[in-house]
Amino acid sequence: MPIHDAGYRAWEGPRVSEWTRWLTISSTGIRRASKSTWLKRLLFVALLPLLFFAIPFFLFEQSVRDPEIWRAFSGFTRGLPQAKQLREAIGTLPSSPTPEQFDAIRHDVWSYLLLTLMRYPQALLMVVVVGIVAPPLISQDLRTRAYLIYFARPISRLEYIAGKIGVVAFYLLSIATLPALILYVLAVMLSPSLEVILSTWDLPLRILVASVCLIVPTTLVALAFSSLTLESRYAGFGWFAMWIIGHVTYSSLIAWPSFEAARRRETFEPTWQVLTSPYQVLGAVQSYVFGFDSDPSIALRSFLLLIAVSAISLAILFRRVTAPMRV
Amino acid sequence: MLLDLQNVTRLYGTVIGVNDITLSLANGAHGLLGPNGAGKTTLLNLITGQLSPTIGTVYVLGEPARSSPKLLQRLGYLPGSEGMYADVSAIEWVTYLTRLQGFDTSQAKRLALQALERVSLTEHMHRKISTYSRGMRQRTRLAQAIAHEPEFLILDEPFSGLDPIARHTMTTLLQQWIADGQSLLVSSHVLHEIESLTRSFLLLSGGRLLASGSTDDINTLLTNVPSELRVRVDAPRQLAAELICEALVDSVHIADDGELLMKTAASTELGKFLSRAVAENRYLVSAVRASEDSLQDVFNSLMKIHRGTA
Repeated sequence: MPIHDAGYRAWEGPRVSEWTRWLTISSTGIRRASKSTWLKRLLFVALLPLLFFAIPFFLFEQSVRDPEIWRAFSGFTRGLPQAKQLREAIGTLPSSPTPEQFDAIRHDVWSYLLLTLMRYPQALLMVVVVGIVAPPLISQDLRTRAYLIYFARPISRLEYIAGKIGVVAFYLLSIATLPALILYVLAVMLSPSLEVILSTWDLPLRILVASVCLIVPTTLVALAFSSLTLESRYAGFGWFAMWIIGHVTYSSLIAWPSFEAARRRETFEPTWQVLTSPYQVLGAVQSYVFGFDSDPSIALRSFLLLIAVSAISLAILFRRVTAPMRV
Repeated sequence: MLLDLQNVTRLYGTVIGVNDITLSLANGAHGLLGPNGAGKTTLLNLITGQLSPTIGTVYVLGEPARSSPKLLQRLGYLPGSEGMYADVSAIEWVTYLTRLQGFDTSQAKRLALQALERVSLTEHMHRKISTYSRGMRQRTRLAQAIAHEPEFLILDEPFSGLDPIARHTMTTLLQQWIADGQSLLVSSHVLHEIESLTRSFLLLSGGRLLASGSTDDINTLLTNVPSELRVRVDAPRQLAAELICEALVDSVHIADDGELLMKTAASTELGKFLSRAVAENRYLVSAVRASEDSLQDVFNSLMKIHRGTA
């Protein structure tokens, strides 16, 4: 009779690749965050601008056949923010443009609409969503000392940070990138022929680049705030304060020059003032990515600032995550 | 070899966490005893590789403790702190942490279920952890430590804050773990909590390893350490005189209530003398108690031995 070993046996089966373990932290974090009712509502709200921006795409593509619709499109875009950028890009068009003229301006019109979507409604929603998702991600682990359990597993500090970045990045992709890509596909479907892809193929790439410029610094800054405190609410407060203070500072700095310029019937273009507001800095870089920035030096300085902020945030993050074990 | 520490010192700035510990332990169950602030958690963090020693080397299961993912797959660790997410259920939490050990989702869930069954939490495993009692939370934390089937389980104060019933449950679980032939290192500042699990102790105080061995070894070590004894007897003055004549006490004091308080460096001989006196009906002894009834006093005695002042 065989004698079976009924005692303890260590696991000898296969294990998943260590390169994908950070995804476990990300997927669990995404699932935990998704339990928030407010977050679900915000994700739903984030789709509404998509419907709104589908209207100008529809009007533009239909106006090839009907000059009346062209006038409706022109009126619609006049109400959008930074419409000046579009006017500068496409110049003055006749009241009844020809199909060739439409083809010539299509790229600029689509770029402008996609940029406006990402720059305004989605960017504002991004601030709120990250303010909900990011603050507890690391502060909670520090408060409950869960890092002792994490790091008693074959997880490095870098993988831990990557996992947490994945959570915020997922929601930013859902809010900023995904709607813009859907809008592009929608625009292609609304256009007279699929040949428009040949003249607009670069736009999905620009969306992705603009998304990276948005996601990397914002995620790292938000997580750095989270790592600096044991209380999630303080991290959230710091996050929102950064945006509000930046915006107020920028508005204050341009108020007087704008007033002076208006008095002289001139146009005032902010330069270094842009660098005081995170929102304007991101906007400057995104505008440049979509080919709309008239002053590349501002975009370059903004881009360098984003890199510096990202590097500092990553350093803070790494130091704080390893700090409990150093003390 | 379970553990091999060579001259391990860990400094926190100018504060010494553990001080020049050299230690080798064979597979099996071991208790790490020490008062609060003795350096137990620091030592456990060195063993789990979460801290690197300032001086010295730490080998666990034959592998260097620091930066060794393979080793961490073989260890189960229950830290002294809570470390749990309150808004998830036990099954979700244990599955998640088992996945971090490299198991795919279905395998991790199966192992988590087994572990929760082992700690008798199957019935409540779908409830949020925030609704659990302290004992249930502690069992959940134990489940995460054993779910990936480690070879060596390290527990930092597992009995802390548990009521007697929860303590009994935890003790039974750990006794089963040891009976299965697995290795265990459990820290505590209460001697009797660990006595029920193992006879092998490491005594740590002030960051130093004061003694190691079995209960008997430690008792032998302490036999001739000066200790205080309180005896309630019908003729205290006569007994005091006799003890002085026999040179069994270093000092003796008769309290107002008639209780004899004596200091002795020969507690074994004194014990024999009292037993003989009671057996011969020369004295009516109603109570004998050592004033050194706390572990801290044992450590103080050991510290005196180390300093050479005993």
